[in-house]
Amino acid sequence: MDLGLDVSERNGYTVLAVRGEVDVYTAPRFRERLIELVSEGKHRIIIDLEGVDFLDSTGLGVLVGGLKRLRSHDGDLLLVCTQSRILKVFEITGLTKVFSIYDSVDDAVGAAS
Amino acid sequence: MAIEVMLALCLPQDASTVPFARHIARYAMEELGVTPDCIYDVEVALTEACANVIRHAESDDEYEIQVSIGEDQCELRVKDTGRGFDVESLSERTDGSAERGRGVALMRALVDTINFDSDPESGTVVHLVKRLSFGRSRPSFLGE
Repeated sequence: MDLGLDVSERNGYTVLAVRGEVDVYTAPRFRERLIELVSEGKHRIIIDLEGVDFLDSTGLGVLVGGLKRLRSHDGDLLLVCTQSRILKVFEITGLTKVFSIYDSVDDAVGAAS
Repeated sequence: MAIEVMLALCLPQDASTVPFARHIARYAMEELGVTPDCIYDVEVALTEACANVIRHAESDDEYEIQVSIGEDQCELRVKDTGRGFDVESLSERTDGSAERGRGVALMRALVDTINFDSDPESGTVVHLVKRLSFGRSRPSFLGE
């Protein structure tokens, strides 16, 4: 399955909507896109994981790397995810305490502004 | 009558083979009526085991995956044919800022037993066992 990476803007935030499976094979493309956005000066990013069917530890590593990169620019990275299977990998690895995870892009934008 | 579905894959140590193997295992479990949440746990564990092999790959090595699905459990065996690696190096990290090192924690949490056997001569074997739960779509030949 192809990895979809769609970028849009919402109230001063850049929204990266991810679709498909994020794993050891596709994660490098996800990492590259995230680094590109930061390089373009997009320092407030919401990653929408609602279209993600699968997420492994390599994908989690991309998100942690993105968060570190953005915080070093005084930026922020917020996540949108309501799928229990995807949330489970965040819970097992303790990353629910590291990331701010919202039910929708609107909720994320609202909480941040 | 007892049934067992056994799949054996021998693949190049390339990241593109990981979703391929995962999809084959998923399809077999779906056909056997395993619940979606249980299938997902096996998919993540299998992916992590394969990813460990890919990260330690020599350029032209192969690796082997055996998936054995019985009436109540699934066994996964992932074997590389390389030089093996230090199993201790895979120990879980708890640092939230680390970008790697969560694969073993995921495997431990998602399956019932996990064993590593690493040998510089024969490579590394990861052995995972997961008890399966079945939904209503269980095929009739499996019985009630």
